[in-house]
Amino acid sequence: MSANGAPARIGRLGLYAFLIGTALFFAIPLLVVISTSLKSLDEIRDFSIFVPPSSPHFAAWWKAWYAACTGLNCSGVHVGFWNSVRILIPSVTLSVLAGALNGYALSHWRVPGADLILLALLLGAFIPYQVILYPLVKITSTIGIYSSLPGIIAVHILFGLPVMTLLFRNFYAGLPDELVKAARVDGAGFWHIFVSVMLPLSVNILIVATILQTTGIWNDYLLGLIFAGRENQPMTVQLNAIATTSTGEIEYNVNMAAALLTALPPLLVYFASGRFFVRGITAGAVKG
Amino acid sequence: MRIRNLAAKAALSPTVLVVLVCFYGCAIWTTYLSVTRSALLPNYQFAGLFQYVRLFATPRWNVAWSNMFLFGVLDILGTLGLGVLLAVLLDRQVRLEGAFRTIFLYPLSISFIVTGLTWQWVLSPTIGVQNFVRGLGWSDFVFDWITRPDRAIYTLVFAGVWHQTGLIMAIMLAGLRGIDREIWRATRVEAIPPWRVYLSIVLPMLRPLLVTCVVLIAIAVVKSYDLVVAMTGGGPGYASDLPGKFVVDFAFERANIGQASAAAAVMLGSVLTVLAPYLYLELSRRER
Amino acid sequence: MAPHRMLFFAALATLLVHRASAQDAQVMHWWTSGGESRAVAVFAKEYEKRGGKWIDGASVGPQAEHAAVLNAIAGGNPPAAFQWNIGVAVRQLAEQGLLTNLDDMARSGDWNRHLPPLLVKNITVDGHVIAVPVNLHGANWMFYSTKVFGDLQMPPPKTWDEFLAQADKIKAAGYLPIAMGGNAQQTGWLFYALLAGVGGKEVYRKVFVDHDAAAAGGEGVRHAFETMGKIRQYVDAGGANRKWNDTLALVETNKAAFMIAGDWAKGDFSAAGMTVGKEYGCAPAPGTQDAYVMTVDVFAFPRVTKPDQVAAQRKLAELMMDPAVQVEFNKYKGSLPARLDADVGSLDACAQLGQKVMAGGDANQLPNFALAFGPDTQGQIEDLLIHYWSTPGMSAADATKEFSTIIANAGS
Repeated sequence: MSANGAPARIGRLGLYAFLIGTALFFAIPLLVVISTSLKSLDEIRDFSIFVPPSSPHFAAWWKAWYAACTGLNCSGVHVGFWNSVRILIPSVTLSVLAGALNGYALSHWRVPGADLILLALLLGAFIPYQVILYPLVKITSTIGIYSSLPGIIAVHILFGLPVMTLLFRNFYAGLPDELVKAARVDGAGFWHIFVSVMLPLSVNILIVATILQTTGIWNDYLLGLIFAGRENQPMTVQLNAIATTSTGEIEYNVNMAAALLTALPPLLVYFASGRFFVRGITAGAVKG
Repeated sequence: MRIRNLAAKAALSPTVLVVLVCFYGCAIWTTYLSVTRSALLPNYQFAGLFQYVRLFATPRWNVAWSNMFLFGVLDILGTLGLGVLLAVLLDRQVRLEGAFRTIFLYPLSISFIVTGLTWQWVLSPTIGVQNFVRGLGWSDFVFDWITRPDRAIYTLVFAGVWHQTGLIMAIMLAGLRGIDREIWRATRVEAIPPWRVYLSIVLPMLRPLLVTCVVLIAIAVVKSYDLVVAMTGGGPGYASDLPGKFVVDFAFERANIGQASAAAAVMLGSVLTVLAPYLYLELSRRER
Repeated sequence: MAPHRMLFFAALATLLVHRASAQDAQVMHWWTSGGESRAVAVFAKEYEKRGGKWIDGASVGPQAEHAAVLNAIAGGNPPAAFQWNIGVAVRQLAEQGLLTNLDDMARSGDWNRHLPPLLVKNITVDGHVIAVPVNLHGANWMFYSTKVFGDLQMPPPKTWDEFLAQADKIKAAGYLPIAMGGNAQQTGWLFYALLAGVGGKEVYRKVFVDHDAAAAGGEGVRHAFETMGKIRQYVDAGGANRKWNDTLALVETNKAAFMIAGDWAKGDFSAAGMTVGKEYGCAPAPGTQDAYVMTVDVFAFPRVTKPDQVAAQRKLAELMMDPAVQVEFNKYKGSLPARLDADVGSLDACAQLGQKVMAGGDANQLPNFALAFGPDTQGQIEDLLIHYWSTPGMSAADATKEFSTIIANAGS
């Protein structure tokens, strides 16, 4: 075991103190936002941002959801919430499936230039949005999907392809070849093997991929701002508009409630998913 | 091993096509636009380095460009320093490790918009830290970095470190957990203090992982848009502008496609500069 | 039912459905403050009265609207009409062939006769009329709180030097000497007033009309920047990124002495239930008593091909040029109607005053950024102004030098 005596104990104490201190650094901003959202405007004017609310109430949350204003429109963030949901579900489903299909094809089938494709995907994952933004606007408008729901979904799928493909490819490459070979001997084709052999084995990685994509797409701002169109603005875009619009006094409690509502879905996913989230982000980083 | 099959190629072709056209084609398109005289609308006449000369003579770009390095270096040092430290500490078999990990990681599940807004509120002189400390009695306390043109960019570092340290911690922790326990046993026999082991033996073994972390954070800094929009809006004035925001502003609001493309091409160049040595190292490591 | 009958009914049905949306017109603008929204509602109501369906496309602030319009045009899904300040940008769009010509309407309505010559010149590109001017705004107004100046028993300042002399007294009495917000719009308006009021109309003309870089680097401009620097110390700390109508609220609530804004601010006052002369007063910005910095709002119509879209556009253009509708619109907007034959008798005292200055001759009519420069140059000037305003450490000499460089690159 470790060395005995006072120095080790002090060292241990210091370790915990540092960890707790750092944990406070991480936790406090969120706690501040939560506590301010439960305060009334009078309490906020007293400028005691780190003090918990004296009589917490959810009025600001209600207002944020139903009545917060962006410019002329005062219908609250529930509009953005449902827009984000409508964008999220097709985008996540299609990008995860596309990634799985591609990963499967690249790992168990002979495809000319597979390594080149993988390298191209890896590079593509790093290209900043801004570099291809204007051409993408032109392309999507030529196809006729610019500033529309199909448009933003297509763009999310596009940007999800590299990471998803790499993720699944690495996973499937770790599965034994005999699986596919045996299925082929039985007469199964490419698609049949995918659906009946690969997918059932992929539950864990599918969860990881879904979490990655859900978090990424829900939290997106720039793509939604440009490609989604006026009627489909996601929650993040609406949130920023609310927080930077001010007619008269800034209602910090409402703004913070709106921020919390926007952060809640991926936060819940995070807390519910534990290890899968960690696997997702580290797999995304430590590419094969 | 890999079976020749048309279906696999068919399944992959949409992805390959889309990635080629949208990522690489568009990147080339943008780079071409950067050597034309495009302004309000695209103009495909070749114009040499005109846009680049103008770009680097534009005060706002030079501020954004140098901000990227300031923010980038500090963000990398901050997230890496704190992230590695936390990973090391958590590797020491602490109690409630799961709880600590959960707290350190949760900001990663939150949108950069929410992160930016949260830190804008915490650092706001009107309702945040400055006013709180003044309320406690220190009426001369000043912490208005976020409204000072010479300091605003540094406030982004707070938010960036808060958001991304968890990622580094998770990656490094996974790496540390992969270290052979034999090494620990051997060093204990020699009575080498743990901090020495980490510094001189373990962390150098994880050098590839550290490089990956640096690359990830660096590229996130280059791409930064959501964070600066939500936190300072690029202000005061344009003091905290970043290339990622410059491109979007000039492409859409300012309607100067030529300048926006030149700035985007510079962004692409930055990413490639960071990536090239990394990929080279990775690929040659793989070959060994 | 026989197949051909079904086909007939199907065709009829599509025709009916088609007709139902025939007169839909999406109109983009940035009029989101109290007074502005009531003004644009005049057009919307008139359009609906004439049988169309107005689809409102409001953006917050000119920059956001510019982006939305350009995006929509680039994306192949343009609005039926969009608002812009007439100037180089709209002309550039027309030169690219992106806007509809209104020549026949201009001819039959005899627009040339009923609009000021400067306006006619600016809405005509290559001989074609491409925009409908709906108003004539003056950007160099001073709106002041009658209560604050009444309490202090001082008249509002007639020159900027007078203001600087008054400012400390106003501050001592607990009021904000000047209401100012830190965004591109407001620093721009302040600059108009300072350049014309401190630098003088001659210098203004040389810089804005002749693009004279030497004048842009000269004494008058430097003096204007110096004054801007001095004004900085008299504003409140919460002005960064504050929208103009929120800044105006400081005057409306008698917390600040005055604000430099265009006559569009009147609409906000009336929306707040205030009348000129009673709760607030208007006067030309210090030093600009015989200058009218013009900002003209126009509607332009992107080129479309479908007949029902063209019909919608023509209906809009017609009602926007209707003299009675223009007067009604401008009542809420606070500006002068663009049409010279509109009856301004029903407009308020400030409008009458503005009308007099305008009528004082061409020498009084000064262009704003949009009329003088392309969006690129305008953007650079706006960047410089907001940077200078937010950076107390920057010297007026440096600002002047940078300004001179921008004007030198402004092209013809």
